[in-house]
Amino acid sequence: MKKYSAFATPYLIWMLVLTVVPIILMLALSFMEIEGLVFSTARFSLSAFEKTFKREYLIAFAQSIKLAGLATLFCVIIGYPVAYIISHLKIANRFSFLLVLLLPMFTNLLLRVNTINRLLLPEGFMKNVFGISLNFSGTEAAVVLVMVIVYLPFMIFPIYTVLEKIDPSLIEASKDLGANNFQTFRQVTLPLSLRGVSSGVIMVFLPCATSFTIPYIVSRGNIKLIGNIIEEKMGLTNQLSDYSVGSLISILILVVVMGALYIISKIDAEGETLL
Amino acid sequence: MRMRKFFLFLTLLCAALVLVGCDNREKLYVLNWEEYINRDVVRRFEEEYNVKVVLDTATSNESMYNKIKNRAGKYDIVIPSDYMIERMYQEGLLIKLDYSKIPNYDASMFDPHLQELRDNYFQGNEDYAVPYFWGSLGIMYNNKPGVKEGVKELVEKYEWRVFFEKDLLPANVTVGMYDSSRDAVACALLYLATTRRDDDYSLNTTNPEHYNMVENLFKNVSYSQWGTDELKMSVVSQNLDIALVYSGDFFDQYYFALETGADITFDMHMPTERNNIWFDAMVIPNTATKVDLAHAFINFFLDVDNAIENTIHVGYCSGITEVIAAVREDEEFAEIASHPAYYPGAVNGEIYRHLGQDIALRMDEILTKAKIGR
Amino acid sequence: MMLTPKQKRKMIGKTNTTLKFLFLAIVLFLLYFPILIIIIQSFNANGQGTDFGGFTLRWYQELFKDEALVQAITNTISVAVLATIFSTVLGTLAAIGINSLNKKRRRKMILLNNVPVLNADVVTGVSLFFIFKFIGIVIGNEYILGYWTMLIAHIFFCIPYVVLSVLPKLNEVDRNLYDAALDLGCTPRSALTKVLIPSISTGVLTGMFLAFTMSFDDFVISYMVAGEEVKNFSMWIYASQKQSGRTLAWPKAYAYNTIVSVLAILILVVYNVITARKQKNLRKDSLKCV
Repeated sequence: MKKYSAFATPYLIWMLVLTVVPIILMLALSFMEIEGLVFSTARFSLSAFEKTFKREYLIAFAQSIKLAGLATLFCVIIGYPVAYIISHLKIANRFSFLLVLLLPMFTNLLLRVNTINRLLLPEGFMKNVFGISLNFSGTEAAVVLVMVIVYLPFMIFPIYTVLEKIDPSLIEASKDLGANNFQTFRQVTLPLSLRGVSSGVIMVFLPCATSFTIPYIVSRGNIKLIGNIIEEKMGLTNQLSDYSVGSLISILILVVVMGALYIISKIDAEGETLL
Repeated sequence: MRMRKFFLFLTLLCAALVLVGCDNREKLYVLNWEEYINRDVVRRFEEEYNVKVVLDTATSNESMYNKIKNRAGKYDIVIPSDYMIERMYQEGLLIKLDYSKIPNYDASMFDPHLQELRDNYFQGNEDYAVPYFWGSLGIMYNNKPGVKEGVKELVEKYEWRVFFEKDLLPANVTVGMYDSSRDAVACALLYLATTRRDDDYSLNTTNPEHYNMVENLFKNVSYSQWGTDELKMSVVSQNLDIALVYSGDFFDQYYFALETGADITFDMHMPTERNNIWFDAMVIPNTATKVDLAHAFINFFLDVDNAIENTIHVGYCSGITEVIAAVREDEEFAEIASHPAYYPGAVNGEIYRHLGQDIALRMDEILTKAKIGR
Repeated sequence: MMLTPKQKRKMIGKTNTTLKFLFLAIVLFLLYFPILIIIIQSFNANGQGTDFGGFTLRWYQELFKDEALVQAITNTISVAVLATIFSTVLGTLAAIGINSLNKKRRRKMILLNNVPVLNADVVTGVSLFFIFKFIGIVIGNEYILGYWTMLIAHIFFCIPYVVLSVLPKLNEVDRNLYDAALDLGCTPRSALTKVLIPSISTGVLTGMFLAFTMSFDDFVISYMVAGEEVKNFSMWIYASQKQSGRTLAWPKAYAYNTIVSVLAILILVVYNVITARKQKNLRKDSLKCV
């Protein structure tokens, strides 16, 4: 088996080039003042820091955390029971049932978000066909709702995987020793499943916090989260690009992600059960 | 073994799909606004010159500038607005036009008002840009009878005030603002100019005090929607009652409603006392690799028949006198062309100038501040 | 009427079960309602989708007539299939490699592997954009972004998912299995292909499935690295958001999506039928032994 450690080397190089080199590039850009991407005009400067730690961006950052946090919380509240119920179903192909829940993931994200958004507007299909006129679109709550609808499967899947792996004899033993259902759950199942919950939290929180499509579409252009700011600074919106600030914010997010990875590696020594 | 054959088959299939999509014709890359060109006319160009035209889109001048400045693509033709053309020219991003390759061009072919704008614009603009469409800002509104009565009267009476003085409007009237720094700031400046009358509030002001006032205005209002093309669609679907739009936005929705036979529940008011007047033009950026073909493309769209077909599909007002006349005389379009907002020359409009990176960033900042923390 | 403890437990059990199913039903409804609307709208004669204008198959036909849309769909599918194949093969090999490393190196490789998975789409997309642009400038082709950069980007972010699916399986597999195969006369190569890989096949399949799903639906990364000409389906939808209803983009998109959903359900059903039949046959065979 040791012979095959050589297989890891090309992968190491590949990942270094495509992950580490861009980070170095972005770090460099964070310390520059540059016209577009024309490197001949680059000068050393700390202006990117000044421009990033502005009040507005900090507010946007806080709002991203808030909305993503709420969405993640709801995903846990809804997702854990769902995973639990399915893992205890007495049918032959539980896994297929789970896949049914995950099938909406195959629908294009933008298509889904736009469709849901239209359902939340006062005029349109909902009103003319069902007589329901919602004026929900454009609010923070709508953004959280759509985040939950889109990312719930990402919470259910890891929790289910972990719950499935729990040795049923542990549950039996607990019951034999006199614990009732609730105690068994609290003392046996829950602690064992926390790894799945933490996976799920990370798989939901990070995409939600850095999303730009959902906030823009569902808030009708009103809400600007940290993902939208990166998008803007990288020249993908109606405003002028600023690669230094964009790079700096990307690096900061990366630092947060690395922090999360570090925490995972402490909770789960092997760091392999992300799924 | 079966798996291997299956995967081999899949790979070959994909390779085949990729190759089938391959085109051996020469390609011309055009960067334009969304729905701002008649694809049938483009197809005729493709057939005549045996080339493929790749149409890419951007939703703002700043976005176009980003793409050209950062050389994101080998665009041969870009169609930005006046002030962005000025900026690109100043930064050496444009290629000078060779009018010997544009025989359809005639110095007197453009509408006199538009020509006056060109004559007074930055030195040499006529060497780099050929006008495409022109227009002004407008206030599009929902006037569905029985549902939203009185909106028309409010818009016509208060004009720019409807965007900044919410108490003038009934509670159920929703307002949308254009998601472009320059245009949103211009709307605020037009409001200040027509209500305060204590200063000029030019759309090209460099006075930081003015920008502070604009920032404050936006801080104290909220909109139901910020968008670009989404605004006109929201008004049409009645999910928005009042929106700041480009004048042509109304007409393109109007044509569309006529085509589908839908009820027309919207209209547009073009304030004439003070407004912005703009023109978009075809330019050849320095990312171009097919300069001669680009000239041919510009030439093709200056042909009067092509220009007529283009303008009746797109909805905006053409810059060519003959084309405007033709649209006005055509029995199908005469009614639309007689709409007071059709002809931009009727407004007291101020054209944008490029004000430098610092002010451009300030405007971006105002837009960002207007949205964050809602 | 007094209930015996047993009857009480049964009643609680029944209400419990009903509550559970009700809860599941609500969640399913929440997740599926948009999909149902999409399916309905794909048959809606009213192209603007504001009201139900009657049943029609028109959009399914228009879908195939729209060149740009067909091209976008072809790109999405070909990139997804190719990226899945490459990332599965490369990812499995990489996982085998990582599995053979010592503990310390292994942890570092896994950390590196997880970066694209956890990193925000935007940041990954931006990183790839920069590195491709940089490579482009170095090799003299500044307009490097296109189909191939998109494919490489997809392979890049799919491999980690394959690795994450295969590694746990490699762990489970008996460490001695490979050596046992060698002892029994296999060449190293056939020990790899005929013994090791089949034993981790469920992990490989899961990885393949994940890779395909991530690639098929990708938007942000493709948007940043596909350049000015190539579009995948997500990018096509993004552009359609800014178009008026005139281009009738939405009903065509709904039609395409309905086809995809139906195909996915069919595959799921077929998979279920096959595994059920396998299980039935297994049981039959095991009964024969008795």
